[in-house]
Parts: sequence; structure tokens; C-alpha cells
Amino acid sequence: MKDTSRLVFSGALTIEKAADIAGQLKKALAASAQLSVDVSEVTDLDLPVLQVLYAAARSAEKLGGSLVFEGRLQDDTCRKLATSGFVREKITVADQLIKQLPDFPVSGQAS
Amino acid sequence: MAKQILVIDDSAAIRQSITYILNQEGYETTEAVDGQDGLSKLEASAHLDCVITDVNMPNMDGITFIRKARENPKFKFTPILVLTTESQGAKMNEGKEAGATGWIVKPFSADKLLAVVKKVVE
Amino acid sequence: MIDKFKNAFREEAEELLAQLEGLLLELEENPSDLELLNATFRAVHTIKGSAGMFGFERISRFVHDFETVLDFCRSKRLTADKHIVDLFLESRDIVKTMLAEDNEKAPFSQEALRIIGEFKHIVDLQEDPAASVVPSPAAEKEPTEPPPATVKAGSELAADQSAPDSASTRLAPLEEQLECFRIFLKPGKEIFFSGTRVLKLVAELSELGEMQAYPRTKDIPSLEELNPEHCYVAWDIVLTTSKGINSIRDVFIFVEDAIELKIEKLDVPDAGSSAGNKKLGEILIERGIVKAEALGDALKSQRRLGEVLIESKLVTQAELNAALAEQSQLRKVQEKTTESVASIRVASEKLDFLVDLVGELVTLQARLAQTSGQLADSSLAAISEQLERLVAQLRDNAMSIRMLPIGSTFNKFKRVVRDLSSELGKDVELLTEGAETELDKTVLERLNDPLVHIIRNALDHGLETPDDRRAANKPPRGVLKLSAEHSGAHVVISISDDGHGMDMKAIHAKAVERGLIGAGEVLSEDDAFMLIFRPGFSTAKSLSSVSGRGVGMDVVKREIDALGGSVHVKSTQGAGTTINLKIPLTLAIIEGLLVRISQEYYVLPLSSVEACIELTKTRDENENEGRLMQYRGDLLPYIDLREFFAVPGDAPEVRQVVVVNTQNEKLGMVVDNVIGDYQTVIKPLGRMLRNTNGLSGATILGDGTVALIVDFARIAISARNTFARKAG
Repeated sequence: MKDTSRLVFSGALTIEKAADIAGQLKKALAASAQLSVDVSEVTDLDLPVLQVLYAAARSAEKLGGSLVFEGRLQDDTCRKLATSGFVREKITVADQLIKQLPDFPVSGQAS
Repeated sequence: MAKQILVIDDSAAIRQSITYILNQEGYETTEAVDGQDGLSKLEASAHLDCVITDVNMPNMDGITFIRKARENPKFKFTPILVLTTESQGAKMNEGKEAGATGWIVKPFSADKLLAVVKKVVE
Repeated sequence: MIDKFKNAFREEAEELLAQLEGLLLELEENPSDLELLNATFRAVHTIKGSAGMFGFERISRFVHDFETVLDFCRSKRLTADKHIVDLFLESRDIVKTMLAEDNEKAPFSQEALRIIGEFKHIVDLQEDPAASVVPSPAAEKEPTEPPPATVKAGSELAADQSAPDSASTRLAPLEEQLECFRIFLKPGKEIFFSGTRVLKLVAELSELGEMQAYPRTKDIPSLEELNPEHCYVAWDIVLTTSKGINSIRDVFIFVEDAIELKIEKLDVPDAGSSAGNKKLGEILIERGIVKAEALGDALKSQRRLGEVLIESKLVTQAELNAALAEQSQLRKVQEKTTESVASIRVASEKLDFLVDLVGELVTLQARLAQTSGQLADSSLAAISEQLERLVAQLRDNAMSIRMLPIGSTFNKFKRVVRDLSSELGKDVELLTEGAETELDKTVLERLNDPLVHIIRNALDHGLETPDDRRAANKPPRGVLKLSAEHSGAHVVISISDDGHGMDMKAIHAKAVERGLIGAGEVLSEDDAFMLIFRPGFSTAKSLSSVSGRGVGMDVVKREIDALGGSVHVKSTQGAGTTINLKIPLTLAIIEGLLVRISQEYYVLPLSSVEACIELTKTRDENENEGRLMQYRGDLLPYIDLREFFAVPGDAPEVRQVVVVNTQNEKLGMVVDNVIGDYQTVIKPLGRMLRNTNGLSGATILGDGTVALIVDFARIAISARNTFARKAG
């Protein structure tokens, strides 16, 4: 079993952070195709960073791994995702995200 | 945390009234008298939630201000609203090309100003 | 805008006008100096922009064409020749005058109108060179003819004012009609660079109505190919709104050219038509997700379309979900539109009249049934039976129209509970159940007061303070529950609290003290609780301002009785009290007991009838003195209705006593004969009978005879007075 790269992001993940986060994820993917992102401290997840997470999940999938979420999803963050249709119901446990996010790449074994 | 808005207009009357309306609503404001002044106030700010700028101003006009502001990575994605009158369709396009987020048409009421600000400020 | 900035503007404008004068004089010397032209334009522009905001609309309108002409000079379409500069200078002076006047209502002066006309002419020439051949109407007009010029200038300028204003000035649709829109939203790749927050736009859209958004995420590439500052997501959105298509466009007003936006109004199929269930396949084709041929193949399979399409990778799960959402939303709108069309407002007198007519019809039908029975004509009997069914349906239907849900009455109590509990220092949560239960409108209105009374009582005497509750091991917050449910031709409304319940001993003691019962009297639990509804009973230690208004629960009982209802109390000490009110669905129909006195018929409301017993003449004469008879080991006062209503003729040998229970007192009513149960529609009494004591209405029997409806409560009161008089 490969090691999982764990990343912890916090605060408002707005567009200003998108490039930086993309860089961090790239680095992590270079180390392992298994990514785990802890979003407990994330107060806002805006579209650009969400796209980066999708992209990282696609890359991980290509490398035979996957991207999963960890921790709790804050209410405000969940609400924002719900309004724009990224999640369909209120979730508090972040690992539910991969099931909710439309067409989010999940690892082959899991599905 | 109160939202920070930079208000740039060479007309003190307009500037003060915008500031007054925004302060009433709980926004915190910084004033600048023209594009040049706006730019230095911008550089001095750690964070801004929105910039409202007039177009026709001495020293540096609003369009140039927007272009320069967008060059600063800190304000690359900051919402910038342009104060304009209806006669300036061309200016509006220029503003958009420079990177403006939206516009407020003069004359405007307090409600309208706030409606537009709320549209772009999170 | 704001008066306090008016002076700031005035000072600023004075400065600008002084500056403008200098600039114009310089311009006269150097008519093509661009710097100069720009500075002049800026000054005029600032005046115009601010004037409107600080209450100088007139200046703003006047300066409009001044600015336009300046702009032409600035862009070299015009040369600022002597004539033009003269006009500019004159304009500047007019603005200065108008600023000093500060009178919005004053008309434009003659000079102002002339200058407006001249500017207009210049502008017209620039914008439509053909106008140089045909002189513009403005130029034709002599300056000495101001009225037409006023109209022209005024109207055009006014129109100009409101023209390309942003979003909010667009006309709202005339009618608030629910419409369903399918929206495809694809932000341009570089949209983030304009400072636009895309999710914020989607959120703004969601505020217009009921919205379901389905993001298309297929275009997000892998990390290596991703530009983190580009936008890759698009949305399929279904929005149901009453605000019209323009309000949707307005959301995107700042990004019109930075996004791809498709808005389609979806046809909401007519109610009931099967077209309401738009096929999933149709939606997928309309959205351009699936091709018709591919769909045909998929449909050949016997399995669910969605599954097949996903399996064959023709659609993604997200695309399928979006299409399914559209399908369900359409169905919802269809239902809502049907609802809104189906409900109309009607004056309640019209409904009363309808119910009245139905009552007559019921009566007439009964006569028909009677007659056809007598004639023994089978075909007539068949018609009569059919009519009976129809009439019954019609009656139920007419009654149901007057029915209203009790929810709105419940809602009114939220405030009562909130205010009262805080006043009493209690923490009480109001729960309601069965808010959709319907009751006749008039019944609902008359229920209000009794309910308020019961609720006040529960809050004041039933529920404890948070401290007391904690001490009793209960959650500090008390619960008061209102519920309503149907039970046959009645509605049962219960008001229950989880307070300390009633103290049987205290009630008993109080009742003895008040002389309501004898000291040694043993009562069933039910009877004991009913004591609280007796006049003169109050367990409250003092008359508090809250639960009293100086009256006890007897008022509640009297009101409920008057409605033909009944009250029942259950209470467990320490755990709370429940009061059940059983109320007839409607006042227009009563279940009655039909009785006869001589040749006259009377109806006694069945809900209060307890028993019927025989009364022989001798027994009556024996006991006549006190008008009291033995009943279940008790002395029962009784009234001879024949006497009460002064019915002529002699009483028969054997008569019936109907024992009724009114306001917790039993009373006998002597009648000649009890005919039986009878459901009837009550008609109000005619003017002649309206003031007759002891009657509350009339009804017409099957054979056309009128039966009068007896009002026990009134009879009981006058009887009590009579007894009192006799005793005294």
C-alpha cells in the first residue's frame, strides 16, 4: 500500500489561493497518487479552488490513485456548495463530498 | 470583520456621500481623490473587498487606475465598480476591458448603490 | 440623494463653474487643445453626474447636451469654434443661475430653452447628417415660441434620463406569474479576471425563486493542464420564478459579454394533461446531451432509460440528475399553477346564500322521498334516491367551501404565548399539530376567545417557571401543544401542557368552599375536573391580570356549549393537563333530536342530550310544586316546553322528558313525543321569531313543516330565574 499524502487547508479558499493550492497538490501528487485533503478549517470554498481539487482528483485517478476528503465540512462552506448545486444535501463529514460532487473522480476500486 | 471599500472620486460631494451611505451599512471606507491617489491608497491596503472608482478624474483616470490595480497580484481579482453616467457606453467597455467588475450609473440612489455593492462584495 | 451633502455639492459646483469659465476662455484661444478640452469635459461631466444626485435634476438635464457637444469637440468630430464656445459660456452662466435658484419646479428659462434647442440641433446634425438637408424641428422653432420647445426638450431629456440605466429600472412583469426557466450558464474562461465571483452570481439567481443548479464539471482538466485562474464549470439550472425573464438577465448584467447564457422558458403544460410528464428523453435531447438516434436505441431496452444511458456512457450521472430535476420542477410548477387558478375569492354572503339554498334543497328532497314512498311508484323512488345522493354530495360540498384551516388561528397564538410567557417569567414552546384541519369559518371565529382563555390559563396556572421545572426534574422549557383533528362530524381541538397538572384535592376543597358541591360528595375524576368550568370557581389564588379578566373558565364552557360542542379535561398531577374541545364542523348543520309538542316540531341539539325518560301526568302533578323530579337519585329541575312556548291544547297522559346537560347543569325539557335523531340544516329565524326567547333557528322538515331549534342555554337561564323567583 502506497503512502497517502495528507494536505490541510484552512481559511477562505478564494481565487487568490487557487494557484498556490494547485502548486501544493502538484507537489503532493509527485510523492503519492493517494491524496487526502483535510477541510475542517476551511471557511469558504470558492469555485476556482474547487476546480483545482477536481483537477487534482483527475490527475490522481490517472496515476491510479484518488483524492479523498477528511474532517468536518463547515456549515457555511456546505451551504455555498449546496446553492450552486455541488452538493445536494447537508453534509457535515467531508468524506461524503466525493459522493456528492457531480462527476467527481472516485478511485476505480471504490466504484 | 467589516468589509473594506476604497472610494475614488475627484468630487468631494460624491465621495463623501458614497462613504456616508456605505458606513451606514457597516462597510469601512478609504477615500481617494483621483486615480493616482487611489493607487497609492490601494498599495497601502492589506486587503480590500471592493473598489469604487469614478472614470473622469485629473492626474489619473479611472480606467488607467483599474489597469494598474489589476497588475498588483493582491488586487488581481478584487471587485472594482466604476461610477459612470449613461453617456459613456464606450467608456464602460473600456472599463470592462481594463478589468472592471461592474458599474454604478450616476445619478444613483443609496439603495441602488448598496444593491450594486452587495452584488459584488461577498 | 442626501441633503447634508447638498451644500458640499454646491460649493464644489461653484468652484467647478469658476474653473470652467477660465477653461472656456482659454479654449476660445486654443480651440483644438486636447488637454484643455479634456479638462473642460471633466468639469461639465462632474457637474452633470453629481447634480442629479443632490437634488439638482434640472441642472443635470440641462447640462446633458452641453456635455455631448463637448465630447464631440474632444473627439475632433466638431471644432470648438466661436459660436460653440459662446454657447458653452452662456450655458455655464445658466447653470450658475440655476444653482443659485435651487428651485427644481421652475421651468427652464427662455435662454436655457434656446440653448437646449441649439445643442440638440448640433447633436442631431452629428448623429444623422441627413438632418442637415431637412432642418430639425428644434431649429425651425423660433425662440419666441417656448411651449413646444419645452415639451420637446422636456420629454426627450426625461426619456434620456431613464434610458440605459442598469438592471433595476426594467419594468416588472404586470402579473406575478410563476414561470419555469431552463438556464444554461457558461462563464467565459477569463471571467475571474474581472473580479467576478461566479458562485455569487449563481447564489443571486437562486434568490429569484426555487432553483436547482447542476454544475457541469466535465471540462475541468487534470492538474497539469489546469490554469487555476480560469473558469471551467458550466451550469444547467432550472428556476421557477414569478419575477420574469428580465430579472434573470439582470443578475448577469455586469458579465453579459463574459458569459454564455441561454434562457429558455419552459412550457408548463395544462393541468391534468399527460403532457405534464415530459419524457426524460425529450429533455435530454432538448439540452443537446443525447442524440435522437442514440436515444431510440436506448429506449429499445426494457430497462430504465437513465440506467441504460449511463451504462453506455451517453450521459453522466450529473447530466441525468439535471434532466430529472427539470422534469420534477416542471411537474411542481404545473401543480402550483393549477392551484393558483383553482382558488378564487368569494364574498362570504354568497356562500351563506348557497348554503341556505342547499338547505332548502335538502328539505325539498326529503319531501320528495316521503311523497314517493307514499305513492309506491318504483321509478319515482329510484329518481328520488338518486337525487338524495346528489343532494348529500352537494350539501357536503357547499359546507366544505366555508371551511378554513385552523392553522391561521393557531398562528395567532404564537404571539400570545410568546408575550405572555415572557411576562410571566416562563419559558414556553408552542407546538401545533393538524394546522390543516378545517372548520366552518363562523365556528373558527367563535373559537378564538375560548382558546385564548384556555391558553392563558395554561400559561398562568399550568406551566411552571423554569426554576420550578428544574426542581421537578423537568426540562426548564415548558411545552404547550395545540392540536386539531377530525373525528366524524366534529373536530377535536386539544390544548395540552406539560405543567404541574390539576390538584384534585384543591379543586374539591375549593368547590366545597364555594358551595358548588357538598362536603361529603364524591365525584368521578371527570366530574371533578369539570368543576373548574362552573361559574364562580377559580383556583387561582388571586385574580391575576393574565388568566382572568375577572372571569373563570365558565366562559369557555358557555362558548363551547353555544357552538354545540363539548369540553373534556384530563389531568395528571405533576405531568400536565389536556383540555379537549369537541366542536361540530359547522354551525349550519346540527345533529338534533326531533320532538313534538302538540302539532309543533322542535329540534334539540343532540350534543347536549343526555337521556329521555317518561313522565306520567300523575307524577307530574305530584311533583308539580317544585318542578323537580327524581333522576338517577338526584333531583332534576325540569321545564314544560309546552308551557314555555305557550303551545295551545292539553298535554297527553304520558309525556317524555329530555334530559339535557347545559353549562354543567342538568335540566329536563318536557315534550309530548320524541321522534328521533335528525340531521338538519339550520335556517335563521324570520324577523317575527327572531326575538323569541329560547329559539336559535328553524329548519324545514321533509313534509314541509317547520321545526324550531331550541336554545337550551337561554331556556336554562330563564328557568333559573323562574326557580329563583319561586324560591324567593
